[in-house]
Amino acid sequence: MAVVNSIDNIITSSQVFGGYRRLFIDRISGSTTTATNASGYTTAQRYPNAITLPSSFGTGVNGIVFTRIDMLNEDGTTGMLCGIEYDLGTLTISGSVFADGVAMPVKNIFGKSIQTCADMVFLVVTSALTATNPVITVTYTDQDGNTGNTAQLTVPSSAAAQSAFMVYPHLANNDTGIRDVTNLSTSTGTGGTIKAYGLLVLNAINFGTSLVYSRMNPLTYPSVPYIATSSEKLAFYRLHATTTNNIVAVVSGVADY
Amino acid sequence: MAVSTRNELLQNKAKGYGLWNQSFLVGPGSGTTSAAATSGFHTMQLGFNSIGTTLPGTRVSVLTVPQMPDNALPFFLSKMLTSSRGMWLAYIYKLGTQVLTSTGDQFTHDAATFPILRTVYGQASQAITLIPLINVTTATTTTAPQLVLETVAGGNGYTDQDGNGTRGTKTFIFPAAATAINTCLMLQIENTDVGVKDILAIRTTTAAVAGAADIWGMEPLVPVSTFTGSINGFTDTMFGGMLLPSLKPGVATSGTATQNLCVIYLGSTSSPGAPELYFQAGLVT
Repeated sequence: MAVVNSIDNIITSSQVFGGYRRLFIDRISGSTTTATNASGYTTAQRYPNAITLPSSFGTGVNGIVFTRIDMLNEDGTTGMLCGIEYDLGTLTISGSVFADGVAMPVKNIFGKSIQTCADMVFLVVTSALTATNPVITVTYTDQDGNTGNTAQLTVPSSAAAQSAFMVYPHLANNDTGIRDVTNLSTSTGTGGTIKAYGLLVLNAINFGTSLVYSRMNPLTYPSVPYIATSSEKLAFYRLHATTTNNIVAVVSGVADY
Repeated sequence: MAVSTRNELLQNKAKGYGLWNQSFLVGPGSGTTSAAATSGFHTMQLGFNSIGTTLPGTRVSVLTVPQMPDNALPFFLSKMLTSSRGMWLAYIYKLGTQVLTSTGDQFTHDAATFPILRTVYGQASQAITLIPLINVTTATTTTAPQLVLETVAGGNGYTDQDGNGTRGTKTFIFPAAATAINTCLMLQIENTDVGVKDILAIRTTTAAVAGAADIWGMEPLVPVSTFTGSINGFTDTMFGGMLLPSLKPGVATSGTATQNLCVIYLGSTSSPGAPELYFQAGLVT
């Protein structure tokens, strides 16, 4: 049963299985690097830690549907994202060595088995780069299953750890999504590591001044009700900022049964 | 195959047939000039993606994928502004440029041939109607320029919403002798008209000492809720009004139109504070 098919289902689920609730605090401890029009067009940061969901659920529970996600960071005029995150692969800059990760998963969405594409893919610097403007080539499988398409980003020189660069503005023409990253490569660079993370976005928040914000309510606004399964990770991103930062987040969900 | 249910659109979104985009926008960066009754009534500014844009000449569209596929329907938008004003998501198509420092026939049409074409109600290549805008690219000085949508010889200035060649009779008067750069105004068309399919000629009847402008045609897509500053505005185009315009730009009749997916700021002359916009879209496939 898709718990999100009705509010009644959610109430029932909460009573029968109890709700899922996690508090999350984390810090970006160093300044990150501003994006350019060759590296995503939107400046972003990834908080270094993530929430790992329980490794197993009770009998009859398929997963968690997140009904409410609140995120607060300490600075205004920024954006926040929370999503189920997948490690699609890692590039060690020195020697251009690629270690493959996972592909985007199959999810049950409104009763139909769907091969998902990431809503967003970020190249996240996990160890500071020492290259001069490395050109990163992302080889990927697109939304139709076509393999070998590429996107190229020229990452800023010496990009700092936790800097995140959006891939989708650089997709091949007519592409709208990535199912899998099959290779990451660079022709230059001597140090640093980059990970490609795919995100199924659960919620986004825009902050004004004085930390005034509103969150999208996933139950009342149209959004894809992704069902998170055991051991999956929830990650958090901050957009339009490069400064050190703390996040406080509360994620709440109910069992899909 | 047509998408017939909300669930199918969201399933398509999950398959990758859709968009999730988050743009941080930029406006003029300095104050613009308020419109007046003889300059279109509506005070406007154009906004683009903050990274890569240097107004007025270099514009980066609101972020999408590089080439928008057919039938991308935005179903949810959110905006944040720290200053109060309205905001529309819109396409703008460049019609041409206008010299403001000399009188006479001073409009130069863009190389692309208008009207802009779209599929409308299942009919391909239908000419769409645009709202004509003039955007100041060099601030005017000394004298407020005046324009009429006609030629010196009395020829037509525009093609109206029905395809009729029309000679304008109204005089558009810039709102100030010193109209600021990046001020965006609505050109005046005849009382019986609601838009244009093309601009044919614009006569500068009174010249400024300095000044220049681009002429654009605006195709509004979605109004993104209007609230006071620092209040997030949500626009649910699936349940809140069933407004599902295609996000794919229209095309020129021939040639390639210069176009941008942008936001139109309404009702303020101050530079917009920290504008943010994110939206989701699903594709009909």
